[in-house]
Amino acid sequence: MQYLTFTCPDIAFSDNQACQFMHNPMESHVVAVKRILRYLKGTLDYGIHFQPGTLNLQAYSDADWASDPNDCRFVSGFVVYLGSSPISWASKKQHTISRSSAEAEYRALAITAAELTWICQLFYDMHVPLLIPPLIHCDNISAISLASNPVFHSKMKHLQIDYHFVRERVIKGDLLVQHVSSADQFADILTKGLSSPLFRHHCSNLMPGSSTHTIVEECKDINYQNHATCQVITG
Amino acid sequence: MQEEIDALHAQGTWDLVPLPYAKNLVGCKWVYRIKKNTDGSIARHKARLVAKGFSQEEGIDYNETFSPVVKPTTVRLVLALAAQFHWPLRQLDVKNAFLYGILQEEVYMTQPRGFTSKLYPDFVCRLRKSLYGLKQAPHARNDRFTSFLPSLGFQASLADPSLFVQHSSHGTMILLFYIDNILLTGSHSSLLTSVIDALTQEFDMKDLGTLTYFLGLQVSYSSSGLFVSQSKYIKELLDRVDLKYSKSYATPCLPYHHLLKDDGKPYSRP
Repeated sequence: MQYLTFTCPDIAFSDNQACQFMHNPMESHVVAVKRILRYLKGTLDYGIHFQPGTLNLQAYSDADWASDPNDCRFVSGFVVYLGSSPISWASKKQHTISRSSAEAEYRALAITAAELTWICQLFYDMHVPLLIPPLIHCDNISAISLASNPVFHSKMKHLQIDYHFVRERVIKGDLLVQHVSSADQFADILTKGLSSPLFRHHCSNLMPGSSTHTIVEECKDINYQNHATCQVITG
Repeated sequence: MQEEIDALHAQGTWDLVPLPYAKNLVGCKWVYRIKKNTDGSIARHKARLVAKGFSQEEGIDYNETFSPVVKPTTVRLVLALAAQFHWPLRQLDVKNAFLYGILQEEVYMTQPRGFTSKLYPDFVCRLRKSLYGLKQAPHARNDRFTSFLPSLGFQASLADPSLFVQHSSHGTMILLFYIDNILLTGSHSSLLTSVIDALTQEFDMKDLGTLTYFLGLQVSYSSSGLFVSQSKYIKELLDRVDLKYSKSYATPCLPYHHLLKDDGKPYSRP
């Protein structure tokens, strides 16, 4: 089933969650796996649509704070778009425990930046030039300010040095980091289980496929009504 | 079986030699499989000779076993680029991919059952080319391909060793390489054809034409780009776990719910 995340970023989070227990599954975990399969059954025709568009890289990075009651670690998620097509995504539990949400978001930024660096190397190897530096969208203002200046030193001195490579790359101009409101945070779907309307909204953003177009329209209305609640939930 | 033995002989897979003193001997066996058509009818009975790799010892019979696997992001990136520039996508299948690897180590194998040499029944096969089941088979096969591709002007990517790029004044060509599947795309279809010709001369390959099914991904084309899905794979998975007729869910997990480590009873496999 892990292999299915090849074209199904929508199940990346639930998959990652369920996989953590598969060496010694309890009944509730098996129920969770069955739910993923039954979700897949309803979304058989989902897939990724690769469309020609602008040749630029944009990433959305997010972290969910202490979401895991087992070990209080953060889940970080990111999705990278080339133009309008998603090409890379991941939902992953962070290696260390973060002490604040800014710290967690910053670690997520670092993971995303590492992935982008790798993708840029791929582009370089393929002799395809990228005209503008990749852009990361992050919904945490503190993490963004961390990325560009070292003002919060007293709160962040315990972050390992290698995490500051985001800052170095931002200063060199190889990377841009931008704020995005939580409601437009596409990577949200990779860090937590969402309610149905919100899930479908993000899903349509992740997989702009032909079969999901109807859902996009439908979700626009639903999302409009739920906008206020969405912000409360994701904020 | 005769067909398989003939193919192995044609490749020069082994020489018959007496077993030297204090050398490890690897066993072998036949594996039979029934190949089916898409409608379920029997296409052919297939026999494959495999070496018993588990009886090999590291450091004596094999050293390196690593073989790189293509990363999903690379595949998606190549597909996205092909859609972006409207490049044609071609797919090739290497027949008996594992048999191309040339063995660096000295490996001795018993003679295959049913095909023991009448002249030298006590001799053993000294393997020259790799065989299915050998520990180093994937590594040897990978070596063989990666050493051949530069002669066609391809360069391995630093970021992903299974990605090869040929860049010249005529255009760019990208080759992805996954075990026995090759995905090829590039700016000119004439360039693609010449590479496919060169590859088919060196290896026994099947040209599968335009890419439609690669690594379980179904690719379909439209005027607005490429659409990639895995519905066939999902269907097979649902069949296997007997959820074909179940109701579907709108979301893959309960919203804002967290799985706990020790939640409920341990699962016992029925």
